Amino acid sequence: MEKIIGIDLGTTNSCVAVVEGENAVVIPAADGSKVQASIVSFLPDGRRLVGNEAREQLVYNPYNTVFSAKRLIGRSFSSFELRTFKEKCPYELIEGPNNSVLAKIHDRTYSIPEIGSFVLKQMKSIAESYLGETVNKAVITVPANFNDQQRNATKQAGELAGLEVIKIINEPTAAALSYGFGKSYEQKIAVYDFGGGTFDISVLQLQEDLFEVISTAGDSFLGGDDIDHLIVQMIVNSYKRNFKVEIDKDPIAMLRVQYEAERAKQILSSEETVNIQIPSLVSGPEGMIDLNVTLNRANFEKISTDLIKKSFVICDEAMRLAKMHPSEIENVILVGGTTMIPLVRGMVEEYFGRKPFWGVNPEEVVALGAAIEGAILAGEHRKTGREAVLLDVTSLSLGIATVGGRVERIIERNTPIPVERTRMFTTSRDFQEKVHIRIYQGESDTEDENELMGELELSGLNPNARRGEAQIAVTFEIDTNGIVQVNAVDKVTGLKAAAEIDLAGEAPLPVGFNDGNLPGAV
Amino acid sequence: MINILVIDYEEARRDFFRRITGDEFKVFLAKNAGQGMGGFTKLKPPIVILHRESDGQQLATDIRTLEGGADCRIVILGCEEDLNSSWYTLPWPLEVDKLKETLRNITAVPEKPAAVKIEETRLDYNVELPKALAFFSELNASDIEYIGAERLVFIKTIFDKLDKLDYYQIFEVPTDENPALVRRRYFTLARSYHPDHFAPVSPGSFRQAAGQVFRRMTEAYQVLMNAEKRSDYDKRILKDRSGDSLRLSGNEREQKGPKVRDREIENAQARKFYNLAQSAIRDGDYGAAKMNLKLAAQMAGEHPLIKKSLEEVDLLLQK
Repeated sequence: MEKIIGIDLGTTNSCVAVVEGENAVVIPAADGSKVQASIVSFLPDGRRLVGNEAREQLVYNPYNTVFSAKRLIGRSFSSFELRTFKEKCPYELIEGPNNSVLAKIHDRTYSIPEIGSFVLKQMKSIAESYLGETVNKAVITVPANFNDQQRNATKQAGELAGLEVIKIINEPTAAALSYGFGKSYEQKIAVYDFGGGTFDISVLQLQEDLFEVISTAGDSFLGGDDIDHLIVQMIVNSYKRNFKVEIDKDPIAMLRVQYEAERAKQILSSEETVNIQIPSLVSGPEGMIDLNVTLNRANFEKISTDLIKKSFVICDEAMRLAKMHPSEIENVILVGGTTMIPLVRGMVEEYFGRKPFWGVNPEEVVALGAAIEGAILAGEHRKTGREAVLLDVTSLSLGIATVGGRVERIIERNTPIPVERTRMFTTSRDFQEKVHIRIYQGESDTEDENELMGELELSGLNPNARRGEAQIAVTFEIDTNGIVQVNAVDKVTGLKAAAEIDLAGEAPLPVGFNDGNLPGAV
Repeated sequence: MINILVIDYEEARRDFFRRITGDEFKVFLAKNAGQGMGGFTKLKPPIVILHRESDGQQLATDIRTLEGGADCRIVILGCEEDLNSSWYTLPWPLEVDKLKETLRNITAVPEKPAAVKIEETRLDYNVELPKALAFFSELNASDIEYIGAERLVFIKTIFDKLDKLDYYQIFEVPTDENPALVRRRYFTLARSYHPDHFAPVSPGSFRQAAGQVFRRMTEAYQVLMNAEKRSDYDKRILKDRSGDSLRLSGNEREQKGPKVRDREIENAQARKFYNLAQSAIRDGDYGAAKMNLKLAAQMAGEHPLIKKSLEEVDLLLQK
């Protein structure tokens, strides 16, 4: 049977897994490493480095090295997130067609899904050399709070990498699956997922082979990167004070500091102190100044406590949506590199009143869950007899624009998926042939505070109808991937109205795109 | 004459119910569920009164499984909120007049819409299967083997009349099925019909039909599990069973009025202490519950939920 691999496409790291026999295993690269950096670097000689070997290019080749692309995927160029990211980003980001985002490297532009596809292609080839066969299908995970565009763009990245994306699943749900698959648990669990770029919390009820998500909440701008940034800020401030040099004025120096800050954070998870040394970091009034800072765990915890606390505000929200108290949770699963920090573990323990579950590697658990889902979808349970059903929810409300810039909700967040709702629309003028509907995702009641998902045009309406006479039933559907589908039927004529949905911020696919070569080139 | 069965091990509470026996109410008393309950459920209109302390919720579920048990009106004493849309709740202690009035109201409430079950006539697979296969023409031999005759016929049968079925009929459960059993039913359906199961099947009409059927099941689940939505739905389908009213539509504005807000405790800290108190009550630690409720009251003031819970805890502490 053809294998379906599971890929955790992360902000900072990615991981690939597959089910072999009874168990899901993480697939190591040739050098034995189980996770790869989600970094793509373009060298002057035209070569492309991806993964761990691209990591040091962050410092040597900053303008041509793309990192944290997951923060940009599915975002529009005018979005707040993009503007914030752009300020600190060394590589060039430009506006593409339809308000999309493009990375400009050397003389070429790359769409963000294309960058994602380079990372996925690497995961695919790691899996292929391990399995000794071609891999064409994958399950890819996304943060639970990803919206429709982000999911679509991730799927597109998979397709560009030559993978048929069988399913997009939520990272916390994948982690739960990895924890409970084949164990016949009956318990309520929480998945606390603190990754490099995003934070998610999901509350699930496990009922033998059923994994029911009761609630989910998240923050797409809270991650381990923000903790690195606090360390960087601390260093910048102390150098400003002590040496009167402004490291933040020098982008290259900043990148070197950032690189070391991340490493220091990781070391502090096991050591009490860490020494950060960077020779000849910046030029001061009396020549080059080296960076030499010692950071101890107590100090580190002092500066990061407030940021970590933010995650528990989101936990409160998830508990409220689930109508539960943290003490009712019977097990807590930790996901994401940030949960390696002892302070985070301690605060989780305090919040839920119990020690989090040990026994899964927070950096691998999501990929393992995706691999298990892949095996289920491949129908392997017919051999093993072990099955699982994921009953997930939509993490964002879906609504449409009405008069006065207000948004009317059609599907509330936390609604079990798959779901569909039909709403009737009519014309507001005589002889109107088209109706435009703006679709939003988000929790606010006003248009400008929600994310525009796309614009729907219903055309081919009866040109002889007076205003209000046309009746178009528009069905909004969210499938088990969390992806939105829209279709429309003219109730009067019984014809399927032509519904075009223009996704905001999506770049058209490059024609004939094949492994980075231009069309026609072999 | 209204027949009432009180099952309670507390002598004092049984005594209280003796007082309402008269021309209007006939009260049967039992110490436990073993005493003559089987026959009682067939009386009309039967009301069963149970106290939460006396294993009430468990009993109520059991009663539902007896003959005629589905039609019983069940009242649970000692509860403040709607535990379950298919039970009535009353606080304890209460006054005779209030009790009588409630019992009259319960009897006056029209019957819930009767569950019209999907015809249980055994489907003739020799007829139905070829029909289903002709309809889902894209399926190849290995798809058919994978899906199996039972699922093929089921999807085809439900799909054909999807817009004529109410949520209860889709679940094949009685209209007063309690949420725990609705949930169990949904899980059973999900084990067979969740669209992910059909991922290995050739795309086309079967996957579309199965997808639509399961979306409707999920919709039914959402409504039947939510007391408020379910009671609105019950009222609506009693009045009108035409196509659209059998479904939750996108036109419906979610109820976010003051009704819901009133119930919730807005202050996050207060809510935390209130929830802690509820957990403590469940664990039988009434002292801790009281302390937490007082803290909650300090932060949220005179919130009705907190006040009610405090009264309840005081009563429990007196015992």
